[in-house]
Parts: sequence; C-alpha cells; structure tokens
Amino acid sequence: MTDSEPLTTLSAIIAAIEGEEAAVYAYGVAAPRLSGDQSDLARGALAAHRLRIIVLRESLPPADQPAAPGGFLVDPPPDAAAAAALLATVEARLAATYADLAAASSGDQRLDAVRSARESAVRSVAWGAPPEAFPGRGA
Amino acid sequence: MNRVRRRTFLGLTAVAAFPLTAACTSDPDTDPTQTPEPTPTDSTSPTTDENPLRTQVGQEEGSLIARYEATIAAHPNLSASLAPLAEQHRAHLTAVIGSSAAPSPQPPPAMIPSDSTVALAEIIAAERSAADARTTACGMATSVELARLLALIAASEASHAEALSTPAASSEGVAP
Repeated sequence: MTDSEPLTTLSAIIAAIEGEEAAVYAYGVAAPRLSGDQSDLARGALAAHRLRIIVLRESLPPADQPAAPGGFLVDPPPDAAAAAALLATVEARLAATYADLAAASSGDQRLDAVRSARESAVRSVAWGAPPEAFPGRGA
Repeated sequence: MNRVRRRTFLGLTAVAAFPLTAACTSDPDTDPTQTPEPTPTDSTSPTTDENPLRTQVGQEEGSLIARYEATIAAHPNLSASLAPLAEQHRAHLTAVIGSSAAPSPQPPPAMIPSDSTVALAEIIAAERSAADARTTACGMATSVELARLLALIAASEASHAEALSTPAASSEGVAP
C-alpha cells in the first residue's frame, strides 16, 4: 500500500506478499548469526513465512500476481543481536501489514489475516522487541 | 505491470532502509511507503451500527485493565512486567471507544491468586482469551477502521502473552 492508493483487497494482498518475501530474505541474512534456540526459532518462522507466500499467491489470479522480488538492500547483520533486531523489526512491520489486509478483506480471509498479524507480533516479541499497543505502528 | 514492479521495489527498499538496530518503537511515520495513513486513534467517530461492538470490546478491555490493576496491587513484584502492558490496554480502550467516552467502571476480578506465579498465569490466559475475542470481533466489524484496529489489538494482546511467558526475554532481551 502506497500512500496515494486506496486500500483494496488486491493491494493489501500484494503488500502482504511483498512483506513476506522481504521477511524470507531477512531470515536468510540473519541465519548465519544465529545459533541454538534462535536457529530453531528462525527455521520455524521461515517455514511459516514461505507457506504464507504460497497461500497469499494462491488467492490471486495469475494476472494479478506481483512481480518476483527484484532485490534487497538489507546489510547482513554483524552479530546475533543485530540479527534478532532485524527480525523483530520485520515481523512487527508484517503484523501491521496483515492488520491492513484484515481491514481490506472479509470472512475467512480476514480471520486468516488476523491470525497472521498475531503470529508476526508474537515473533517480534520473541526476537526481543517490547510489545506494542499497536504492533508495527509505533507505541 | 510497471506499477506493480515499482511498488514491489518500494516495499522491499523500505524494509531494507529501516535501521537494523532500531527498536520497534521507532516512529514509523518517517517511512511513508510502509505506513499508510490510518492510525489506530483515527477511529473515534464510530458509525452507529458499530457502537454495540465498540462498547463490548471496551467493556472487555476495562475488565482486563481491572485485572491488571488488582494483580499489581496484590503482587507489587509483578509491577515492572505488568504496568507497561496495562498502559497498552488503556491505549486500546481509548482507541476503541474514544477519549471522550467514559468507560463504565469495572468491578475487579473476584479473586487474585495469592501465588504470584499463578496470578501471572491467569493474566497470560486472559491475554490469550482477549486476543481470540478481538479476532472474533474483527470478523464482525463493518468499517475498515474498526477492523484494522481490532486486528492490531488482537496482535498486541497475543504478543503480551508471549512477553509474559518468556521472563528471560523480558529481563534481558528487551530493550527499553
């Protein structure tokens, strides 16, 4: 969702796909800095994000599929703390993106978007971010 | 197609441009590509047909706040963990019913367990129930604003349960 466009279900789904693809990349660059329980957490989260991309893309007809991601400008985190902070940030932003999708959809798709928002907010805290009253929107 | 490509690029760049070490409390308004206009507090002009839903959620948030306050009073050692989260519930309440509407006073929960571990477990259970209730309420919202707000509150309350369930994280891993 860019600032000039109205909230539509299509734009909200595309934003969620983009957010998920960015998250998958972030988990990839963070992985070398993680070990032990953090590696386990990252593997589980990565699998969940990949599944969400498939589910979101399946909800769109071929003509509406967003282009494949062209590139990422994330610098590799220098240590485990930076890796966790990156993932906490990405997850919090994704929670807000899914709240937008919940607002732009209805029925089961809305409930699924709320579940995704909850999961991302929980992961953000698991990566060390403080809980927020409105996740991804600033405290 | 160009529109979609450009949007994709902006979205990914926006994530990339976010400072790696920034806490989530950074102001997202500095990044217009990822933070749409609506904010949780822009919903203080409820449409009439949503008033019962807002009232119901407001009462539930009021009950949660009362439980937090009673638990903090009974177990001051939990205050550092619980007080910031109680404050977030007050923000939820204001966002749902508006700052001008006075919430009806809530009776405190009947009993706060004397064991602080049990009392904390009950708070965690209450947060999980609240997140489920907010999810259901989101499904019933008719306006975009209330649906977004309830989705955010559901996510917030789920994250409260997570934060309270991992004391190691709250004492070491969480930046102020």
